Parts: sequence; C-alpha cells; structure tokens
Amino acid sequence: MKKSWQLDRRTVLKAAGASLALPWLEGMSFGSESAPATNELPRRMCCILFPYGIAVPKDDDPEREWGWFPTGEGHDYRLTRVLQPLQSLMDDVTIFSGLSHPNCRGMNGHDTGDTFLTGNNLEAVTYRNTVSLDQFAAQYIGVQTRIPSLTISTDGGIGPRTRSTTLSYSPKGQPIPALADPKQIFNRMFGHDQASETDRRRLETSGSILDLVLDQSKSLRLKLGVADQRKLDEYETSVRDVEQRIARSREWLKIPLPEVDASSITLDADPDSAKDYIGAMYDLMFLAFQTDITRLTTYQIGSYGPTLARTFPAAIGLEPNWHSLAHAAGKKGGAEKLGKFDQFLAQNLAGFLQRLKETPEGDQGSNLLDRTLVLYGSSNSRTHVNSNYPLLLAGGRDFGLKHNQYLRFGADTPMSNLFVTMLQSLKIEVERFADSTGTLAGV
Amino acid sequence: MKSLLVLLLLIAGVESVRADDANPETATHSARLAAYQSVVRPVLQKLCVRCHGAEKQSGDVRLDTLSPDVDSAGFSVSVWHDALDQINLGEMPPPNETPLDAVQHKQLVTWIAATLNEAAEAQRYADGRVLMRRLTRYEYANTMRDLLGIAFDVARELPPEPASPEGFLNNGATLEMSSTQVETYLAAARRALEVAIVTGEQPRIFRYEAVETAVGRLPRSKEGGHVPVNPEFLLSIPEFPRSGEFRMRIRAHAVVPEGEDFPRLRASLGNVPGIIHVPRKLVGEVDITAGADAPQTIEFRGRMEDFPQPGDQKFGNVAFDGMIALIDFLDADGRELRYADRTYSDPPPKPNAKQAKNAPPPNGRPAPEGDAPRYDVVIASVEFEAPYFESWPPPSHSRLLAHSDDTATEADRARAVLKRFMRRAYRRPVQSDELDQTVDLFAAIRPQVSSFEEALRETLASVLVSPHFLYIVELRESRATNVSQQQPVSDTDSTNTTRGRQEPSRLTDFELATRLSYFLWSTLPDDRLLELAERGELKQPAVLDAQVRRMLDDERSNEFVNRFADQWFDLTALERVAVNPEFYPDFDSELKVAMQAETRGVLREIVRNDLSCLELLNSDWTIANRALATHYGLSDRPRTSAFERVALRDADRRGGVLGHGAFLLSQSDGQRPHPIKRAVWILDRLLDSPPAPPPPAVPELDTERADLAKLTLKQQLEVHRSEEACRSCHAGIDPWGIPLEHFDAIGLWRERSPIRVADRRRKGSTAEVEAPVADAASRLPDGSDIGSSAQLKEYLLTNRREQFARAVVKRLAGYALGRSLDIGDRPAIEQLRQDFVARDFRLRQLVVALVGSELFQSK
Repeated sequence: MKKSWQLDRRTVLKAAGASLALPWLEGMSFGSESAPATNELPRRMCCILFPYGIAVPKDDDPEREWGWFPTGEGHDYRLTRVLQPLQSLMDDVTIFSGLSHPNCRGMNGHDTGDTFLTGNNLEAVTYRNTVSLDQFAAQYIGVQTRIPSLTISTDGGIGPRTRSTTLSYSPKGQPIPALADPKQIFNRMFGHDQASETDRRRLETSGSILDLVLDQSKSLRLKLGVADQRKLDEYETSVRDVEQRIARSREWLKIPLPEVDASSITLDADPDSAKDYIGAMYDLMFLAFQTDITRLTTYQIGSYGPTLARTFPAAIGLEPNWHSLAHAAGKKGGAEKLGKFDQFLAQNLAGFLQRLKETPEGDQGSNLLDRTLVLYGSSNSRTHVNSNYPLLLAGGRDFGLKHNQYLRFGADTPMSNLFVTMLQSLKIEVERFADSTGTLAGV
Repeated sequence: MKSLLVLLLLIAGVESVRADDANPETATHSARLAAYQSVVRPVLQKLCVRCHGAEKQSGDVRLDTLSPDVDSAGFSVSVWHDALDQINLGEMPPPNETPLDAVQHKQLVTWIAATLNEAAEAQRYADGRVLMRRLTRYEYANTMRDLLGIAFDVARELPPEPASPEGFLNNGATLEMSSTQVETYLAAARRALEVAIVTGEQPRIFRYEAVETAVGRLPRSKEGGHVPVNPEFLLSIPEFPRSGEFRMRIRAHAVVPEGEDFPRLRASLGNVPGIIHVPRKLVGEVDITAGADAPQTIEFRGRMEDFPQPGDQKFGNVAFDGMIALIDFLDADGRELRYADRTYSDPPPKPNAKQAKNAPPPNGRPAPEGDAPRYDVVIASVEFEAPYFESWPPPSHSRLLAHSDDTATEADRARAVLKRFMRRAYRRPVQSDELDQTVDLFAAIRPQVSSFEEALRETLASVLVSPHFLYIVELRESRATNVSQQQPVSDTDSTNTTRGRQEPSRLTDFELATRLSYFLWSTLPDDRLLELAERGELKQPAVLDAQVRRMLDDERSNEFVNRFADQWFDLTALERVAVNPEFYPDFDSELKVAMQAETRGVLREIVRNDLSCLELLNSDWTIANRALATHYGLSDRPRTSAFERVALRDADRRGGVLGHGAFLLSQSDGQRPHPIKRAVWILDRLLDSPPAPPPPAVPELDTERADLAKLTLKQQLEVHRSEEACRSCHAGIDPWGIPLEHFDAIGLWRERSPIRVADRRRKGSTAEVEAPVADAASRLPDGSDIGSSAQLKEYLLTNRREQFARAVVKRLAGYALGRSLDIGDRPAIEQLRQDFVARDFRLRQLVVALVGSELFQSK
C-alpha cells in the first residue's frame, strides 16, 4: 500500500544519489590492520533466489512465450515475454541454462533453497550445510564496510532445515538469520549513528562485556557433555564474531553515517502487499550499495517451505498460491500463469538493475551496476527438478564481464564454476568453490 | 544397552502389533526383528540378493549380511538409507528385473523407514542428549519482562525460531545461536535496562484530555481523489515525547437497541503527515458493554516509538501539529457504526494486519428509521499521557536497586544489586568469583561513563548476554553449586571425559525449579520456587505436587497452555494458509485469530478444570466468541468478542479438535479441504503415527487431466491411489481425511462439495460447474467403515484411545523436556501412558505425574 502522501520513491533517491555520488570509501583509510587501506572502487555482489522454479514449455508449445528461458543461443537469442522487462538492460545481463549443483541433484525437489549458494549436499538427519557464496566473499571484502553483509528474506530468520528462509551460511555452515521487516533492515543499516557519545562509549564497554561472557562460557564448557559443548561452540563463535564487528565499528566511528531519508522507502510494507514489499527490499539493497554500507547482500524472495511469499502471485491477480502455480506450470494455460508472475518478478529486478545503472560511481564514467554482480535465479527449473536452474548474472562490466548473451551449458557444468568466476571478478583469488571444476567459459 | 533391551522386550510383550500400524513405537524392537525374518528377509532373498549377495555385490552393496538389528555392529544406517531411497525412487529393482509388487513395496519401505527411525533414536541416545538449551524467543521475552519488571516485547528484533521435526520450538538441538542474535541480545538488554533503570529527574510529562472531538483543518470534500477521513473522535496531541510508554484512558458507554449485540471501540494513534491520509497503528479494540448509567473506563498502554510520528520538519498542509489519537466505533459484526456512505481510502489497520485485504469493504450502518434509539458509542472523555510512569523512579528501578545503601561505596552498592540480580537471572545461587568478575567489570566501566546508574546498566547487560542467562544450563555432574571451584582442566581432558552418553543423573533443586518454571510458565522461577530450591525441599513429592498445582492455577500457566497448544496442534500454520477470496469472499482473516483462541481455550479449560483429554476428541462444549460462533453458525452465541464456554448441540457438529476451525483451515490449502493434510495431521498429532515423508520425485496428481477435472476430490484421490507409486503410502493416509469431507477449507459444514474448473471467460479464475453431495464414506486401513466426522470421532474414542494417550504423553514430555525423545525414554513414556489412561486421561494429573517422574527429574 503506497501512502498517498509519500513522494515518489525514485525522486527522493535521485536527490539523495546526487549528494552521495562520491563513494564512501574514497579517502577512507583506517591505517589499521582490520580494514586494508584501498583506493579502489568497491566491488559488490547481490544474490537473489526465487523458489519453486519456472515454466519450461517446449519450443513448439504455443505457450513457449511464457517459458523463462530465451530462445536461440549466444548473442543470437530472443527473450520470451517473461524476461522482456530486462530487454533494455541486456548489455549488462547474461542468461544461463543448464547449470545446477551436481551435489544437490539427488536432494528432494524443494530442499535446494538451502544449497543455492553453498552447492553442498545436505545429508539427511544432520542437514549440515557449508559456507555460502556471499559469506565466503564476506571474509575478504566484508571487512571493508560498516556491515560485512546483509541477509534478507521474505520470511526472516533461518527457518527449518531444507526449507530455510535464508540464503546465507557462515563459514561453519550455520544459517545466518535473515531480516524480513523493511524497517528493521533500514535500522540495521542506518539506525545507529555510532558517532553519538553513548554509542561510542558502548562500543568500548561492549568489548569488556563480551570478554567476560566468553570467559564464563569457557569455564562452563568443562562441565558439559559433548552435545552441549557443541551448543556452546556456537555461542562462543557468535560472541567472537560480534567482538570482531565491534572492533571494526570502532574504526568506523570516525566516519559519519550517510544521511538517508527513510520516508523515501515504503518501510511499512509487509509481505501482504507483494509489490510494495519486493519494491522496498530492492530499494534497501540499492541504498546499501549506494551508501556503501555493505557490498554483499542476499535476498530470498520466498522460501520453498510454507513461505509468506506464497501469496505473492495475488499481486497481479493470480491465485494466491505460488507453489500450486509452479506445480501447474506444465498444464494447459499453466505456463502462462507462472510466466506472468515470473515476468512480474523480472520487472522488479529490472527496476533494481536500472537504478544501479543510473547511479554514477567514480570519475571514469562508471556506474554502480558496472561494479556490482547481481545473480538472480531459482534452484528448480520445473518445480521439484534440481537441474537446469534458471539463472542470470547482471553487472560487473568494470570487472571485464561480457554480456548480452544466452549461454547454454550441459549438465556436466557445475553452477559452482560460475561462483568461482564471480569470486575472481571480486578479486578474490580462489580456484575452487564447493564442487566446481574450473571457471565458467564465456562470461 | 543390555538392560534396555530387556525392558524393550518386556514392553513388546505388553503391546500387540497391529498389522496396519507402521508406527515405530508399536512395532517394537523385537517385533520388528521378527518382521524382518518373516516378511522382509524373504523379499530381499527373492528379489535383491542375486545382485547384492554372496556372489555379486553390485554397487558394493550386500544385503544378505546387512544386519536388521540397530544394536548390532553389522547394522549400517547409510546402506539401509540408500536402499530405501533406491526403492522409493523406483531405481531398484532395476527395470529388467522382477519388480516389487505393491504389498512387498509397502512392507519393505515401512520396515526400513521404521528401523531407521529407531536407529536415529538410538543414535541420539548414544551421542548424549542436548541438555543445555537456549531460551526461545518467547521465553526470553517473558524472562526479561519478569526479571526487569518492564512491559514491552524486547524480543521483537530476534529472528524467529525454527521448529524441530516434532514441531516444537523449544528443542535444544534445534535452537541455534548466531552473531546477529548476540548483537540483538546485547541491544535488547540495553534498551530494556534503559527503561528499567533511570537517571536524573523525571522527564516532562505531556497530558491531554478532551470531552469533545477535536476539529483540525481537515478538508471536507474529496481531495486528490481521496475521500477525507472523518474520524469519530479525535484527540490532538500537539507535543509528545518520541519514546516512552503512554497511557490512554477512555470513558465511554454504549446505546444498544433491543436485540443487538455490543458495539466495539477502536483506538489508534498516529499523525497527519501533510495531506489527508492518517498513518496510524491500532492501540486496541474493546467491547463497550456499559450503559449510560455507569460508563466504563478503558485503559490502553503502548510505547510511543511504536507508532507513526511526524518528522522533524513540517511539510504540506498539516491538519494537526504533532500526533492524534483517533477513536472510532464498530458494531458487533465489525462493521463501522456510522456514515453509511463513507469509505476509507485506506482502511485503518486491524490487530491482524493481514486481514485488511480480505475484509468486506467498511460500509457503515444506516441511521435507524423513525425514533428508534441509534446504535451508538458515546465517549465521555479521552485522556492521554506520555511518558507515563506509575511513579518516579519507576517501580522497576526501585526494585532492582532496592537496599543499595546510599552511603556505601559505589562498588559495594553495585555488588549488592548484582548479587540479587544474578541469582534471579541465572536461576541459581551465584558463586563469589562469578560475582567478583562482574563487579570488576563494573569497576572497569564506571570511569568511562557519567553516572553510577549507567555503569550499572552496562554491567547488568553483561548478565543478560551471559550463557548462564541465555541458556538453560544443566550441568553434567551435580556440581551445579560448585561452578567456581573447578580446577582448570586442559582441553583434551575435558573432551575425552565427556564424549558420548553418560548415565542420567538427577537434576539439582535449582535445575528442577528452572525446568519446571519454563515448562509451566515459560519464564524464570519465582521467589517461592527459588526459596524451596534453596532449602532443598522442592524435590519432596508433596511439596513438588503442591507447587505444580499452584503453578497451574497461576495466570502464568496460560503460557504453557498457549505455547503447548500452538506447537502440539501446529496452530501457527493458520498464519501460513492463504484463504482464496475467490472461493470465500466473506472470510475475515481475523477469524484465524479467533480459531487459534478456540483451540487454546479448549486446552486451557481442560487444564484448569482437570478434565479428560478425551474432550479433545469429542465434547459437547467449545470456547468461542461472537464472531467465531457466528462463523460456525452455532445455536448458542456469545454477545461479545470475549471468549467463553459455549454448549454445543449435535446439530452444531462441532466438539473436539476435529471440528475446530484451526485444524480444518490450517490443514487445507485455503481453497478446498485437503484430506491428505488433514489425515497426516491426525496420524501425526493425535495418533503418534506420522506417515513417512514423501519420497523424492513423487509424481504429482495432475488434477486438470481431462478425466480427473470433473471428479470430486475424493474420487481424484481414489485415482491417485490406483497409481502404483502412490498407493503403498496413501492407502494408509487418505482414508483418515475423507470422513471430514463435510468441512470445507474454512471449516464450515457443507452438504455438497463443489467442483470448480478453470473459467474460460475469466482468465486465472475458476468457476463452479457442479456440486455433488459431499461424500465422507471411508474405509480405514484396519477395515473399519467410517461414514462421517461424528463416526470418526467415535471410532477414535473407542478404538484408538490408547494410541491417543501415547500421543498426548509424548507431546507433553517432548515439550516439557525441550528435547527430542529417544530410545532411552520409552519405558518412562510407557509408564506415564498407563497412568494417564488409568486416571481417565486427565491432563492436569498427567502434568503432575510427569513432573514427579524420573524422566523429568533427571538429565
């Protein structure tokens, strides 16, 4: 529900953009080991998942226009109606077919939201996961910003295993709770002006507080059984993480928070109004990048479980059940319905990409999109099918990525190869991620 | 392990095994081994061993030597698991070999699944139980409230909890911790302490009172396409604090014409940001039952920071400076009372924001004809005060800092405060070195901050993020009171000595008090419990019994009833089901809240009045308010939105959870009833025999296939079951849901079950093409013929009461212990079940027995 009194979101942000055109990191040098001094412009990444897969009508199907994948191949491709909203942005977009996580193909069809960014086979019973792409990157570039990474999802929290409501997993494979409420996300990014006197003091005392509880935890663990010690490990790791964050925040104290007008975003949006809600989430991620609060975000548009996002298709007048739309995609008229909804999602993505592209960065004529990798897709093709993910990668032209193409791969190419390519684009020198076999050719 | 086996064998003798029962509990260890010999082994020999046997081991798998006994060394979880997957996927036997027939398929799948389940339990037992568990979100909120004496939800920013496989939120193994949470705990502690402990003089208080509605510069005609808001009663609040508690008091009475029910009053708070829209949030809604002779006083409280406030800068045509309180009126059905012609451009928020979309358009009721009394709410006065303090300093401040002698040194005062605070927070006596360390922290912080109180707040915050506070800690040895006297042990020692399962030991008195209070109150133990623990009297059976009864009689036990009901019956699934307005245009989502309240209320009635749990299966009463009774069309209808006990008649066809809207709606898809979901729920939640989860890659039933589209759901399911891949499981599931076919998706009785197909004229919608008579005739797997929901209830009461008893006991025990039950718990569960049945299924008695049991008192 857009409030009638609100100014147009875009107007305000454009205004804000003007005053924020200078990236925040320029001229910031901490002179400390926690944050390496750098003059390079930021490199960012945003990973987005939508659940339940897409319609995959055959080429001779009258509903082919509502299939997600383009027709043709390479530079000689044609978008269907589903991805039409991205047409004008294709110079910044590559679409992939055929990729998936070989590790995850044997998993239940609706279990792969957990592994979209980890590429790990979730073993039954324990369901242990491994580090996700964004959190892996956060270990390298998270230290450069006020917030290492931002994890958001429609449902919030972590959710049950195999139906998780977050895309992000720590280096230990622990799910990182996602934030869901736009207001909460905004506050997390801009709520605390840590330059204020109280907060400055609190950063100091926080260190002492956490030291004390860590000591308590260490003496406690001696009196616990193994299973309990594992629980305490989680606690200690978490406390240590916060200590590190605090140490970094101390550095950030010297730098004022960017001023951002909260009224420019529909922070009151809740998942009941899908249009506003998805819009607010993209706005927040845009704002995060624009102000360089963080360089890494993940956004799970819906989980594969009983997600609040199930009703999103109602936003364009379809039955309020995404899951059954997806299941009906193979039936007559089904591809059109799901395709229309996927088109709606693509419209929202296009808006986000467009704004990144319209926002200049640096003085070499670059823009935010050129220095941001946006991965978008689902971990099902047809619903329940864990191969041939519908995927696209946008942005990153400054990193030398080539676009305006539709690359078709065989089932032998792991999606993790794309992850390696993305990490290398972020200047993280790795050769492998999960089950990768190399980098991805052609991008 | 030996003694355990003997016990299991003993139980095996007690209980007979039903042929249709796939449940791992009834099919006991020995019975399952017997079933392996008589049923499973011959099938394996016949169809599998040629390739997976002595001569050939295709894929390195050999089945003839694979032990069926979870206790044996030759047992392999992973091989059995693979076998199950391969069979389920239809990969084995391979296409060129003799396939399994349906009976063999079911026998194998059922047996392997049950055996793996037992293995998992045995593994959990052998690994050692998770004893330490983090407070859940709601436990944390309650605990902070009671510890600090503050009245707002500090847990709001914490991420929601995942449920355990059994559906519990308080399972120690599932409850996780992350850095985001630690940060949030610290922030929440600081925010709460800032409210609880104050510094300086009392802040300025803003107080406004009015007996007449305020008139602002509101436009009177449409502006910018928006109909102006014309609220019923406005109180202007030009100056206000940005944060802090507020209190709103309203004196009002109702004029209720003959035959009408009571109207309601709705208060909200917000501001006018410039044009005409009034962003505001609901403060509260209440029935007005008082007459003109004795108006009632309604008091609402809230926190300023939770409500929309004007920005720092005025802009546009501001009708009111500052904030406004807005009060409007509804009739008993929730329709706006006045202005028949008025519609809001944006309906005001309701308690459950989700319902706004489904609610009927807010049309007012027309004025009465002639000189009949006008149905009305009359406001005598409205009073608003913020920030509101009961006293200065607030009671929380005085309580936390009580007895801190002003003449003592700051460090001594801090020590006195901390000692009391830590004992309550850690729910046990505090060791002197623990206290010393914390006082040291105070000393370190004090020079950095400007006041004693602020240093104290920061120090108390450390207590509130300590593992001793955030986790319910039960130490391995009964050395709980010796925390500090431990000699440091090297890491290798500590891991070596504590690996794996240990013999259960008794809880300490303080651990018992804590377990008890989180079980029955979802919060920390009160002074009485701590006192009894301190004196070492809590474990005395008579004392303990008396305490359990006291706790159940206490208001705080509502937490137990509500949380247990939510988690046992999966009531929160109501939030996740979207009612399709195309099917049910009149459904008001506020009813979902009422449905949840009904099921919770019924359980509360049973606990409070020491009733039999069989009332959950069938009863001649329920708990309803006016809206829910209207929805159900009950013969007796309450007159207000308050919930009360309502007598049911046979014609009402309610009674028992199977007639509750909460169950019927949450286990539907929001469009049609869902016999499979309902069946799984019955098997899992009421009969403790959850069917195995669907195997990977199960084919969906294509309900729009030409030959299926025009069938009733029941007929579709029959077709579904005729498909080989589906039958083996669904033959045991579907029949349990069919008898409820007379209840539609939103839980209303129907005589017909309409068939809807895609509407050719309107894309994306469906049209009803036919409405055959609803068919509830079903044959259960044991051969019983059931023709209606009433017969199903009767059948459960007569044929399945023992099984139901086990479900109740296991659910209650799982909730009380905060962990998954394992193989070691079975004898205790069985004992409790027998007692429970012997005591007429009375839940209150079961709670008392459980708390008194070794199961509850050991760790």
